Amino acid sequence: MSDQITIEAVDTDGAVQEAAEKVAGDSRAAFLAKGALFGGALAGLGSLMVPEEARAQTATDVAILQFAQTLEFLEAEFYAEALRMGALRGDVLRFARVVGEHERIHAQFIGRALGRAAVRKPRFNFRGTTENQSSFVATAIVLEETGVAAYKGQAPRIDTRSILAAALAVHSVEARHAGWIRDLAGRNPAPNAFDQPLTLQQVLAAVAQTRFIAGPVTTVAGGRPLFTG
Amino acid sequence: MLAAPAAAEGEPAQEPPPEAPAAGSGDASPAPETRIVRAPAAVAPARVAHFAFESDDADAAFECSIDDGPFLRCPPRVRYSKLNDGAHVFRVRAVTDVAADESPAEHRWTVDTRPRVFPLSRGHTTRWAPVARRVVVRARPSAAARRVAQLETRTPEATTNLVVVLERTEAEGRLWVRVRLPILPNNQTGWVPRSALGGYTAVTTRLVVDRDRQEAMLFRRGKVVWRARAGVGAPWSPTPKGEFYVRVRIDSTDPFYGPVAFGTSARSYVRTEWPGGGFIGIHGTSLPHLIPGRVSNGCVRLRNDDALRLARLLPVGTPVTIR
Repeated sequence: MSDQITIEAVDTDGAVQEAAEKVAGDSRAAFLAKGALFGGALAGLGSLMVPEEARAQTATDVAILQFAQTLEFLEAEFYAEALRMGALRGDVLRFARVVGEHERIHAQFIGRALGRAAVRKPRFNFRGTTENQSSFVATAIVLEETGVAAYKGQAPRIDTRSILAAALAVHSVEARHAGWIRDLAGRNPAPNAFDQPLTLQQVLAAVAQTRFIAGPVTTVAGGRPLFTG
Repeated sequence: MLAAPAAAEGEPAQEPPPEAPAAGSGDASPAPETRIVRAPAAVAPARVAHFAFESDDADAAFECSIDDGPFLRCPPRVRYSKLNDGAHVFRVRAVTDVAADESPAEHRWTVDTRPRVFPLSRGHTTRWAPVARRVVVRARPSAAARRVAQLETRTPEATTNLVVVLERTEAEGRLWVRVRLPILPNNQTGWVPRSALGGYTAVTTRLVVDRDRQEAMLFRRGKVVWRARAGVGAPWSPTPKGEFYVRVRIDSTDPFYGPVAFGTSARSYVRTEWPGGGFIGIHGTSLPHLIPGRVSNGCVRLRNDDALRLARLLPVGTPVTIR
């Protein structure tokens, strides 16, 4: 699989779209008093330095964090499944271990910051990209670069300074991930002097084209069973 | 068959080998040293091998040997193709006009192009996946292999059809997954393209039904977490034995099945005309006084309170062993 995944699929679960719609909405005036949003998240996060004084955020900030959490869930589960599948070797395996842990912490951190507004973890189908090293590498490049551009695109819209600082702390780590995996793929880790942000719709399209967010699975029904009895 | 070495740039590298100068033949120049800088892994899945090497004497030329063949003049980068599966040895020595490396550099490796199969379910962990599209199941991981069955995306109960995934491999340029099949004869598996399945879900539970003891047990990570007496198939309609899985839960509205019923991938060999195809269920009952016993049409019957306790512990996708 190359990193030129075509844009043609849909977010069947609706998780990203749902989060994105909240980001796109103009509801900056509505403030949510969530209390010590980042205070609890700081415990146990090691070197993840975020401003402790973050205490409240706007509805726009909540929506942006919900969107970010969905993307972090996607990345974290991608690496977790790749490690479970056992198809990675050498430096790529090390990359997956390190970056997977980062993404897991990011998702957890954003979830704590959101409190009750945290999003549910979608159901994923990685379509075999976690089961082959070359597919994994190509896909990891796409996911990391999308993540970098997504944070960059939303940063100017964040209302709360402390949340912006936290978002930038995540953003730079995502950029390190992108450079690392590009290097492992034999590509220039930093090809440009300036990176471009992605708009919300561009991020949505990038996620949707992967078709990694799966639709619902129905395993429970009601009525009269058809079994032999 | 083994192809002659070619220069990495694609040029034929064959020249008549010069006489290797004898070391210490009167010239005081030291023999050049040779070092291999690129070589295949100890076990390589490819029939092609690339080598690169260098010498401490910038003017040295090189002679290569593959699989104990003669040393032939070669460029500093060579490629061997059409290597057979098995052990191989490559040697290279630097030579000058007056001396040759007396201890050629050597690399041993094994070519193994057999498809590598990776388990998806093992130990206490079983994985299942929904069937994302109607797909033909093959006996081997090949589009040309014998057709075993066809999987639909829905069960007879209109829920998502799911299959337990056992292992995966790569063949014909794509991923294949071996799945357990809900078909007759029971206990069959087959291969489907990975693209026909949805995402994996893992369970750590296993349900074991003992027909002789008329008992069922649920294990989680190898430890019993639920146990109950059961009614099993009557002698004229036995519960089939083998390896199956739970693929649907029905919140039953029919008292005959009790409050809850689980559909498995097992099929009755007798009740083939049954609506839905004669699938074996695990369910409650309106006739609890018959449990334990050989009383059913093939299903595993439980007392309703046991069935309800089981329902709190048993996720779909759980493997079921009937013995």
